[in-house]
Parts: sequence; structure tokens; C-alpha cells
Amino acid sequence: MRRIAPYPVLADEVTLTVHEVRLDDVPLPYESTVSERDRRIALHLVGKDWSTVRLVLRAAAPRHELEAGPWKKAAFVATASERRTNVHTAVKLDWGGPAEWVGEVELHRDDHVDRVLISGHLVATVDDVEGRVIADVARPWTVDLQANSPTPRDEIAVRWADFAKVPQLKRHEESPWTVSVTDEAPILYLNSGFEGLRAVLTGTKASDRPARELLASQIAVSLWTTLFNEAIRHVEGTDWPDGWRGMALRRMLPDVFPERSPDDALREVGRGTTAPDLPTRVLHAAIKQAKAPRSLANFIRSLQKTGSEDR
Amino acid sequence: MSDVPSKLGLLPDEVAGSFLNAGVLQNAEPLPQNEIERASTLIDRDAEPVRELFDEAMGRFLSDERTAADAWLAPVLHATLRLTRREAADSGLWNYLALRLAPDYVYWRHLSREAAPTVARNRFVGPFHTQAFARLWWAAELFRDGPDYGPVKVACGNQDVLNTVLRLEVIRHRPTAQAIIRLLETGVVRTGREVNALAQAVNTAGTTLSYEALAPDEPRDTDAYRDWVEAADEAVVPFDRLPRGPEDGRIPKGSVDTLAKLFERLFVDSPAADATSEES
Repeated sequence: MRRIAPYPVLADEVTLTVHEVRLDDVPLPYESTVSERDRRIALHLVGKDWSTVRLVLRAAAPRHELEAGPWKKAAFVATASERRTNVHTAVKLDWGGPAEWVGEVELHRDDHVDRVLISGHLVATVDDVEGRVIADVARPWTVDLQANSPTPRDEIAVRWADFAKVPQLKRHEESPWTVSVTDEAPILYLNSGFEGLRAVLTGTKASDRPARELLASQIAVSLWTTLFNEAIRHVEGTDWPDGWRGMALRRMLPDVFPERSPDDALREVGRGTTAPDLPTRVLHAAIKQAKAPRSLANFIRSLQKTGSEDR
Repeated sequence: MSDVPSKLGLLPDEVAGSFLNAGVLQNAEPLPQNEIERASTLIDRDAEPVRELFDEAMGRFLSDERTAADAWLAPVLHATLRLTRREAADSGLWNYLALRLAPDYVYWRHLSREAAPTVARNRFVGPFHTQAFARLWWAAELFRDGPDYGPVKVACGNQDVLNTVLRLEVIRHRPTAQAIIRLLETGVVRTGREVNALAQAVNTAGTTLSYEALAPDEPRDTDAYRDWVEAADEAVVPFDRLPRGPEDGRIPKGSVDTLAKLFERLFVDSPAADATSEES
């Protein structure tokens, strides 16, 4: 991310790469643990006994720009943060060659729950002011302690339940579906006690297809609307929220504010947007999400697939 | 309360939220304790030593000085519960304390003083910096200097620290949190307005200055913290002096000094500081 600051900052990107992941001092197989493309590390530690994860990192800045610029005493600070546990660990990396820094960050089991953001910034003395941030890591990493694959997880869970029989859903007893969100994932609950719903959604008869698609897209519109409204409550300043909230905003904001860039649109909602037609804009974006042909087909498939009652 | 549960438990947000109707928030309607207990998952931790803290706090402080109870309760709650951050991140525990173990304390401490008194919903179920008990535990965790709860007492003695500073991401770097408390201790900032001006100045400057680079922290000793957590059963937590926290390492004094000097300068240069000094 390019910074805006009242002093000279780097124009080019600083990259952070993960070279090795060690779990209690045993190196993990790189291929199945690290996805460079998605900048994700999946540790699949659910129910496992572990104490420390160590990441071997290398940061690199554009050498020519850094050497030609007005910066002195450049250093790189790597950070590991998780919002849910208020952990923010910072480690100064060692010099690893011109415009390169190497080092390790450690994550401890007692300090983390779910996803840890690995990032960092380049600091230097500028105009005699020490510790100025002159660049941030362009693409930070996410360490997912629970996922078993480094490619992003299926972000929305779908569950059938008889609402009348589940305490937390009882007040929606008369609704055919409802959406519930936690920090980890949104869950779409379908009411198996709602007569006919299951027959339509999970049926395979071709003659039912128009009804199935119509119903599925209606569910999807209300799902996306809920996700958007819930996600914008978690926007603080200019940071994209973690997890599914970030995913929902990245998908929908370009349709909510087509006249703005995604970052600019995020700033608008972060400021508490005053667009009087916001509900209409959100509805429009939700309809687009719901109708996207591929997304609708996948959505229907996911509704059919979740045949068994989870609770 | 007549039926104190024997164990602590976890009560999920959604279920907890469903019990909070207008009548409950106005303390006009009792919480359905049996239903709450059924909806909770009990954990193997005795409830009684925690419950005792709330009774003690309500006995020590008069209702009209109830905000002062925060500075007493935060350290003893932290030293009694002995949670890892991983455990404390589960809002279910805080919901259980507020709805099941000590709703009377939530009313005592947070019922508004209006014609129609009510407790804000997020004191029962809410983010860590607002929920009645989570805010105290996290304040203790984020402001302690290793085993020393002294800075926690200072932090929780000022409602603006709890309301504003606690939610700033910059204070997750321990020397930053300590430096802010140092300025309160030395009287550089006093009033709520000054605390807010300082918080804003520190937060803004934090976007261009790396406090982590200027004032490095030492890694916390997680093994020592775990030993302390595991000794929870044998612990006797004193009520009349500050308890001792986990020996997981002090914050480097030089780093706190550096930031305290820097923050004082930022505060004095901030426009809000001028306005407040003219007032006093």
C-alpha cells in the first residue's frame, strides 16, 4: 500500500515472503501449508496439542530506490497481530543483504484463536526524524490456525434446522430462513420445519427449476444484504475487515458505489456514509451478487448438498 | 443472589442476546436463570471465588462512587480468573458472568441515572472494550507491567482511559500503553478531555511513526504466564493491596521513557491541549 505522508516515502512495493513454517520446531511441508498466491498459511491445528509456530520471513524493498532516496538507517519491523486476542507482536528483522531483511516471528497457542495477520513496515530516519514509516508490506499474510487448506475457505455455511426446536432460532420459528453471523463465518439457516421449503430447494425435478432458482435467488439477496450491513459495522478507518466481512465488502462495494474505487468506497462506509439512497444501492448490489449465474448455480448446489440436519 | 452457580460457563452471544429485552435492561424483569443455565456450557472452573469479588466490590464502594470500583475490581478479577488471551477472546465467558453469575453487579455498576434507568445492552453482551467484565479483564491484561498491576489501577481510575484508550489498536504495543499511563501518573494529563486529546495525538502520530521501532518491547514469557494460569487453584488474591500478576516479563523501561517523552511533546503540541490548559 502506497502511503500518503508529509515526508518522502517509497513509491515501490515492499514484499514479505514466508520461507519456512515450523510447528514446535518441526518444519511443515511447504506446498500444502503455504499458498503464495493467496498469501495464506493453513495450519489445521483444531484439536491438536501444540505450543509454538515459528515463521521464517524475508522482507525486500526496491534496492535502487531505497539507496538513491533521502532515507537513513532503514530497518524492517515484522508484525503478527490478531484482533480477537489484542495481540500485536513486533520484531525487528536482521539485515539480510542490500535492501533485504530476514528473521522469525513466533506465535504462541495461548495468544491466538483463529487468524493472525503477518505484516510489517519499513522504517527509516527522514529529515532527522527517527522511526518514520516509509512503506508498508504490500500484501500481508494470513496465518489460519484452523483451516486445513491454504486456499480460502468456503466462506458461508449453510445448515438445515427445525427452528422451533433450536433455542437460538426459536424466535424465527415462522421464517423460512435466517442468517446468523459470528466472527468466523456467516451461517445461513434453512428452516426444515417450514413446510415445502426443503422439497423445493433440494429437489432435482427439471420442472421445479424455475421455482427453485427464484427461491434461491431470493434467499441469496437477503443473505448478501445482511452480510453487507453486518460487515460495514466492522469497518474502522481505512482497513478492510478480516475474514468473511472483508470478502463480502470486496464483492459488493464496487456495485454499491460504482463511481468510486474500492478503497475509496471503503473509506466512505468507514466514515459512516451519508448516501441517502444507501439501502437501494445495497439492494442493487445484493441482487447482482445473487443473480451472477455461476454464483447462483453454486449456491443452489450448496443448498442441495447440505442434506443432513446438523443440529 | 440466591442461586450462585457452582461452575463458570460459556453462553454464546446469540443466545445471550435473546434474553435481553427492554424489561431486563431496565431491571424490571428478572433474567430467566434456569434457561440461561441450560443454554450454557459449563467449564471446570469454580464460580464462587469470582462471585465473591463482585460482592466485595459492592460492599466496598457506595453506589454513588461506583465508577471507582473499576480500579479495584480489574486487578483482582484478572488475578482470580487467570485466563489466557485465547480463553479471554471467547465472549461466551463474559456473557455468562454478566447474565448468570453477576447480573446484579451489572445493574449496580451500569444502570443509567435517568428518569427511566436502563443498562446499555452492550454492558451484558458486547465488544471487549465495552462489556461490563471483559473491559476490566482486558484493561488489566493490556495495562499491567508484567506482575505489576499498578498501571492498571491508574488506567481504570480514569473512565476516559477505559472508554477511549482501551479500544485503540496502538496500545497493543505494551510500551505505548505504559507511556500513556505514565503521563497520567505524572499529571501531564488529568482531565477526560486531556486524556482524549492525548489518545488522539498518539493515534494520529502512530500512522507515520513506528512506536515498535522507536521503543522495542521484549517478547512476553508465555511459559511463565502459563505457570501462573495453572497455579490458579492455589492462589490467594488479596483484597486490600494489589495482587501480583504473572511474571511474564517487565516492559523495557527505556522504551517507556522514550515514548513518554515523545507523547508529552505530541500532547503539548496538540490543539486540544491548548484549549484544556486555558480552562484549568
